[in-house]
Formats: sequence, C-alpha cells, structure tokens
Amino acid sequence: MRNQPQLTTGDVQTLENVLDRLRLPTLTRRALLGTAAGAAVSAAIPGIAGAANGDAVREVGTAAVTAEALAVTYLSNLIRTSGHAFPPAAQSVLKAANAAEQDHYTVLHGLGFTPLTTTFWLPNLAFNPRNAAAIIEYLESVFVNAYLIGTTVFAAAGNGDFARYTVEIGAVEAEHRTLARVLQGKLGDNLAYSSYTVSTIPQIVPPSRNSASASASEPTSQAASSRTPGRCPARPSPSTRAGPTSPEPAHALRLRSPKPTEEESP
Amino acid sequence: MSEHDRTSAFGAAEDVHRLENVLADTSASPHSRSWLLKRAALGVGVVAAASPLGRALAATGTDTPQAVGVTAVTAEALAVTYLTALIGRLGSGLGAAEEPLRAANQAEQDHFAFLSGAGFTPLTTTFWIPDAAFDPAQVAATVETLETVFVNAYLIGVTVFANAGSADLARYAGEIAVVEAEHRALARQLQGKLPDNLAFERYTVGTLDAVVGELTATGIGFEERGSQPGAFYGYQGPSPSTVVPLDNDAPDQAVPFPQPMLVGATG
Repeated sequence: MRNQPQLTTGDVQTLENVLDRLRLPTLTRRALLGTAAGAAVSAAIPGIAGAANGDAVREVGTAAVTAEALAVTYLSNLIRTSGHAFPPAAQSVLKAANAAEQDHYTVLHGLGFTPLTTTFWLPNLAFNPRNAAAIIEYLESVFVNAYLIGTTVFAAAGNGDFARYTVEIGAVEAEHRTLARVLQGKLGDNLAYSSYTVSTIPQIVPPSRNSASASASEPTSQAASSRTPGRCPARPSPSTRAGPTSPEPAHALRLRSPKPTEEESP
Repeated sequence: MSEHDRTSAFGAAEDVHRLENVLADTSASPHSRSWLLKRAALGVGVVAAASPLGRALAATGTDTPQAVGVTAVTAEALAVTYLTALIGRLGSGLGAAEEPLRAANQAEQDHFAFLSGAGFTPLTTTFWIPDAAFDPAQVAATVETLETVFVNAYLIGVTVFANAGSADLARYAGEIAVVEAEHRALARQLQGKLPDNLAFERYTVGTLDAVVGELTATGIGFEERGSQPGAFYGYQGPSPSTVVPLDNDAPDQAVPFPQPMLVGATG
C-alpha cells in the first residue's frame, strides 16, 4: 500500500456507487472494491483498534467475514449440485445472492478481517432443493442479526461509515431472507423491524468455535454419515471438509423430520 | 470525518452531478450555473430546498438526529398515505401484489407509530401524489423507487446516529432500513426484475434535503402541488382492510430464528 493515496471510507462508498452504475465486469469490480477497502483501512482501523470496544469490532468483523465465507461455500455448492432443480428465476436469485456474498467477503477481507475458518461441514440435506429455501431463510435471519450487532458496535465507537456499511450489507441479507420466504410460499415481508433476536456474537458463534471449524449448521448422526461434504468453489477458495462434532450452540441449525416422515435422498 | 468532509464527500459527488443535469436542461447563464454548482458543492442542497420540507431541513444546515427523525416520520406518513389509498382503491385488482403491499403498509404504520411516539412530528401530513402512482401497471415501479429512497434515507440516519455515538438509535434506523429494502426487493420481483440485484444497498445521496429532492423528483409534493398530475392526500392511518398482521411491530422486538423443517432428516 506504499505510495497510494489515503482513501477514506467515504471514498469506498463513492467507488461502490460509481462501480454499480458503470456495470464493470464482476472480477474487475471486486478487485477494485477490495483494493479500495484495504486502502481505507489505514485510516479507519487505527481508530477502531484504539477505540474502547476495539475487541468487539474485531469480533464482529471476524464473525462477518467467516459468515460470508460460509454463505459463498454453501451457495456455490448448492448451485453447482442442485441449481438445475430450481426454476430459472430462482436460479438467478441464488446466483445473485452468491455474487453479493462474495462481494461482502471481498470488502470485509480487504478491511483486514480474517475468517475464523474457511472449512465448513455442510450436511447433504442442505443441498436438497426442497430444503434450500428454508435453510437460506434461517442463515440470512442469523446474518441480518449479526450485522445489526455490528451496527451497534460501530455506532458505539462513533464510526458512522462502518455502522452504515453493516446496514448496507445486512439489508441485502434481509432481501435474501425475504426471497427465501417467498420461495417457500410464505409472506416475504413479515416483519416491521428486522429481528434483533440476539445481541452478542457469541450467541451466534460460541467462543468454543474460535479455534475449531465454525459452522452455522450442525451435523446430526445422519449428516455425519454423509459421504459428500461440501466442496469449496474455485473462486473464492474456502475449503470444506468434515469437521469435529461439538455441543450445539443455542441457535444451531437443527435437522428435524417433518410430519409425515418422508424418505428423501439429496 | 468532519461535517464538511462528510458533506463534500457526497454533496460534491451527487448533488453537483444532479444539479449539473438540471442546469443542462435550462437556460441558466454560465455565471448562475457556476454559482449554483458551488453552492451545491457546499452541501446547501439548492435543488431540494424548494419544498417546505426541503426548506425546513436546509435551514438546519446539517443532518442532525432531530432532522433524521422528522424526515423519517414524514416519509412514513407519506408511505402509509400512499399505500392506504392505493390498496383501498385497487384492492384485489393488485393481484399477487396485494398481500405484500398490505404487509408493507402495516410496517410503515409501525414505523410511523414508533417515530411519532418518540416525539418526532411530521412536517406535514398532506401529500401531493401523482395519478400515475395508482396505475396498476406502475405500482410496483413506484414502490421500488420510493423504497430505494427510503433505504438511503435510513442509511443517512444510521450514519448520523452512529456519528453521535447513539448505538441503539443507529440500530433502530438499521432495523427499519432493512425492512424497506425487503419491500424494494419484492417490488422488483413483482416487475419481473432480478429482485436481489445489489450487493450493498444504494447510498447515492448523503443529505436529507437531497433525499427530499429525490422524492419530489418523482412528482410527489409535500404540502404543495407536485410536478406531475395528481391530487392531495392526507395521512389518516391505515384502515384495517389495507393491512395484515406482522410478526413484530417495534424495534428490537425479537422474533425467534426460523427452525427449518427439512425433508429427509431423521431424529
């Protein structure tokens, strides 16, 4: 980053707006955003790190970039293995969501946040087209909540730009949530206020996962016997492999059989 | 970031561009054009100051938490007024859009109720709404435009509250912005567009008077006639037939994370 102009977070915002209007190729857009975000961090991160809640900021950023890596890994594999089973409009929605999650990952990573892990255990059931929308609704609900925690943390630090970024991202996650609900035949806009179900990151990702494979989904005995763990996409390249079992966090994805029970293969 | 830096970061980028476009369509002299552009670059929001709401906001000279609250409650009153009239007029003629619009109307009313309960009073509850907004073929596009502007407005709110260190208020603004974004996506879907077309919600203007300018550019008027054929409508709250119950109605009102019932799971 030597000899580069000092970019502010406002510059990153302006760049995002301009890139959106120019409709540049995706890879060019991501490269520019990542570079700009990295350049802006030199102005933003020292202030954040020195803030009274610097640890909270790092916790939020780390959780967010990890979640985005999970989202891209899941969606990439879902589209690859089961995309053909969705109607064309739904396929487009999934691909757009995947692109958005990748952009989120790029910016967060460029801001200096490193994922706790890029290795995720993904149950085969998650790739059943009949389950995908429900899983996406769950994941996006959690993600929106996480970003609202980020809003709170950055606002407490007096950082308006970063607080705004969390909502710019969280609102997009909420759009994904809404669309996942519509795919299930539910009312998409069922909330007046985005739900703030939990107020701390450990309530979403327990501290015990900080040194192990982080996962928003929890393997059951059935999933543990699955032979096909999720594989990482070529771009980005978070790898996926079987992870260790551990006590489920309070809001882990639980696999339940519907009534009546159906035999279904992924 | 100082107030001037914040203003210049967006005022120079957006307000000047918008003003430049407007002036290009007029016969303004080069001297006048230069003067106006300089004023816009200072974040005065000349274009948007024409309406009473715009003048009131411009008079504050800055986007304060108070200005955010007043603008927001006024915007919510506009939303409820429009959606109530729309659903009341078209009803089942809205087809697949009826239920999500009724849900959206309830949400906007919940936003209004919270903001007014917090002490913010709308600058007006009388709105000029273009006739075109009630054309069934243009409803979804109108809603998309309005919600896009509302999201931007609440992002300004998040920024203002956060810069003031008001964490809870920043989050509340975020919780509302998120819901407005959901409405935006649904409106796009109703038009057959890709609903999730953004990776980051649009933040194209950085001042509240610019937000007002974007709304008035659609033909909406705040207590005065708008630029498009239309009529005056007054906020009276939604009628029961124009809303549906939602799963929450206040900030921080937690809704449990959905627990998926998965096909093929055992245990």
